[in-house]
Amino acid sequence: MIPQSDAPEGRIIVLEDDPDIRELIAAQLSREPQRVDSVGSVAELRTCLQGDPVDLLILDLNLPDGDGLDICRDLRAAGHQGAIMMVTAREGPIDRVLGLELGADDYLTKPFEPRELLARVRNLLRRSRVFDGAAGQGGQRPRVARFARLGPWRLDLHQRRLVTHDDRLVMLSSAEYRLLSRFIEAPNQVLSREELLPERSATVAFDRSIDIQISRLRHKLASEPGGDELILTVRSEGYVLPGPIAFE
Amino acid sequence: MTSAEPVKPGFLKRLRDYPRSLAGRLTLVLSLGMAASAILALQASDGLGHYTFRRDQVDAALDSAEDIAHRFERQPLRTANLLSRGVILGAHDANPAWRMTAPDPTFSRRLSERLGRPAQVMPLLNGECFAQLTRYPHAAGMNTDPLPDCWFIRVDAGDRKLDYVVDLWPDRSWNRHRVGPPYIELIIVAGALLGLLAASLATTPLRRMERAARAFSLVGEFEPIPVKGPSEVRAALETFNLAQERVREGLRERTQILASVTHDLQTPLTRLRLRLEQVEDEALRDRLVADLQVTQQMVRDGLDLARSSEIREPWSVLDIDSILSSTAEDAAEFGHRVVFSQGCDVEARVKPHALARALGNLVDNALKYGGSAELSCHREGADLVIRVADRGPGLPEDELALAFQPFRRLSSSKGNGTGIGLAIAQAQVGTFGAAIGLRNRDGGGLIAEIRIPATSIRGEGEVVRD
Repeated sequence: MIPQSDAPEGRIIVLEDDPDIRELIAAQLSREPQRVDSVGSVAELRTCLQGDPVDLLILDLNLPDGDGLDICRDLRAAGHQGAIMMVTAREGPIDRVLGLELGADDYLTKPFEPRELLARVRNLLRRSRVFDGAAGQGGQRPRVARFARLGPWRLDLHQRRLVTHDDRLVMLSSAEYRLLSRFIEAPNQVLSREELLPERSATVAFDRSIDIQISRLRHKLASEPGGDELILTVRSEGYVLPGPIAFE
Repeated sequence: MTSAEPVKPGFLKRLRDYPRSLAGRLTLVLSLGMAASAILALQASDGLGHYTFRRDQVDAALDSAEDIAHRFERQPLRTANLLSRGVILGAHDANPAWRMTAPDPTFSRRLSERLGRPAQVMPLLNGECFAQLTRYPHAAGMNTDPLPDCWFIRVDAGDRKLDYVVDLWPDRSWNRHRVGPPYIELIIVAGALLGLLAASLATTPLRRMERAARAFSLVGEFEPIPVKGPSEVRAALETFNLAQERVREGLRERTQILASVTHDLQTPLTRLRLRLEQVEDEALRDRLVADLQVTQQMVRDGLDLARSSEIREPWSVLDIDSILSSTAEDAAEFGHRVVFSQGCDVEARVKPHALARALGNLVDNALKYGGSAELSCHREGADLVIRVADRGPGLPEDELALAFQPFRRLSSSKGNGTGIGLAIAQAQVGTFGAAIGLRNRDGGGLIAEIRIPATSIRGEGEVVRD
């Protein structure tokens, strides 16, 4: 266990059996405000979990004394609330879905870009805070939710696509999925263009790309009866998705 | 185009090919064979019937002849009287003008043995036997044909000779043609029907096996065929299942080896990638990162190709336009010139990840060689064709087919990449029964087409359950 920061704002545990990678991941995360603990085995993890609450667990799947998938399932069964990110060399849509199904919040395949790891860690921690806020308001999104219900659609949160009631699929582009995710995280809230597209907040007020994306998304949603008017326009303010959103 | 056009034989062609099919041959052999054997059997039974009739006819005639001879012995006058009056059924007077010119030696000998005295028998045809009837007119519907033949008999009674005639049984089969038109036609029709039945019995398991073999070779689905049917078919199916199992084992082993090799490579590559962050010289770091990315891509491609043949992805009905527009938008987000130009409003039963992966590879290729890509789809006959077109240099005609072979570098190939993008794409779409064809575009450029067979298509509004 290597305490990383003097005044930590939360805690991240890295469980990885390869000492080099473990150290390197920890080094990557060292600039984050959270305290980072690194462990190399399931036994060490159990000890480590006894301490302060954990915001994020970065989990390798192949471990000398256990399997990451089992750990993930056990932790969730025991009511573990922190986010879990799987980092593994097992790639393939099925592995990914399985990992997410067992309660992981994200799934990253090795070898990965260090920047991507950072981006995902930040995103997960931000989302955790959103969940905590939601939990305060009545806890809308269960952590292992696979689908979010949107009118006649179910949004597959693991595979980023829309599913009809009879299991037909409509694919979403990354941008469309990001938009929908934002709406689902904040139902009933009017989201401005800047909030919907933070990475382009400098120019978003002038370009129409967000409107084009919304219009495409609406077009896709409207292809099922009852799927139109899921996203409403609020004049001169932005867009809103009327809630509540059911998860399953 | 390198992918074969789906064969849809017309009725005439099917008819022409029918004799070459197993069903056709069985039908032909059975209908002709049954007709021939039925005719032979009928002929034989006819012949036998005729023979026994002749034998019994002769026996009966000998009985009659013997009977009349005995009557003459006991009551000569009464018998002669009855005969001359013609009231004895089956026997009457002989015409005095007849001469015993050609006695039949066999019949004569048999009658002599029965009577114990010399006798002669001369068979006569009915025209002579009933010569008196031919002198007079007869009713329009009648002629002498149905009248019986007869024997002219002369018995040597010591002092005198007894002449009389006994009638033979009439041959009632004279107007029956057993092997004639209705029989032959009926037999041929029955044979053909039987042939069809036998053919369907024989070919149903074959069809099942063919379908399974096709699914196995095209889609790569390793579903064992249920072993049922006649014993030979069962044996063949078992062998097929065994072969399929072997192939699957081989593939699994190959994938296993590749997976473990690449998995073991991932760890040092990850380490290397993370360590590169610590390189101070930015230019050097960027170059090293680029090299590492190429290496990673190669490892990933190799693994993809090995895995593509045994994708366990479930089937889903997918809105094709949505995957094309998403692919285009995702690429555009990275600053690539990819447009989705024409939709087709079709849903198809596919494996979505495999299709997305294949599309991604085709778009990458188009961008690499043409700098831009245009996605569209349309119906060609009943098939669905997804088109990825670029305005690059295209390919020489003789390299179009070679492009799908893994690790083959084409003349126009650029330095990086493993050259298996197309092979992976082909394998991926193969998992759901589609195929990729390449051709040059009018006005320059290359067109890659994913052809999804009609059986996977669900038109808008129309429900196809399978």
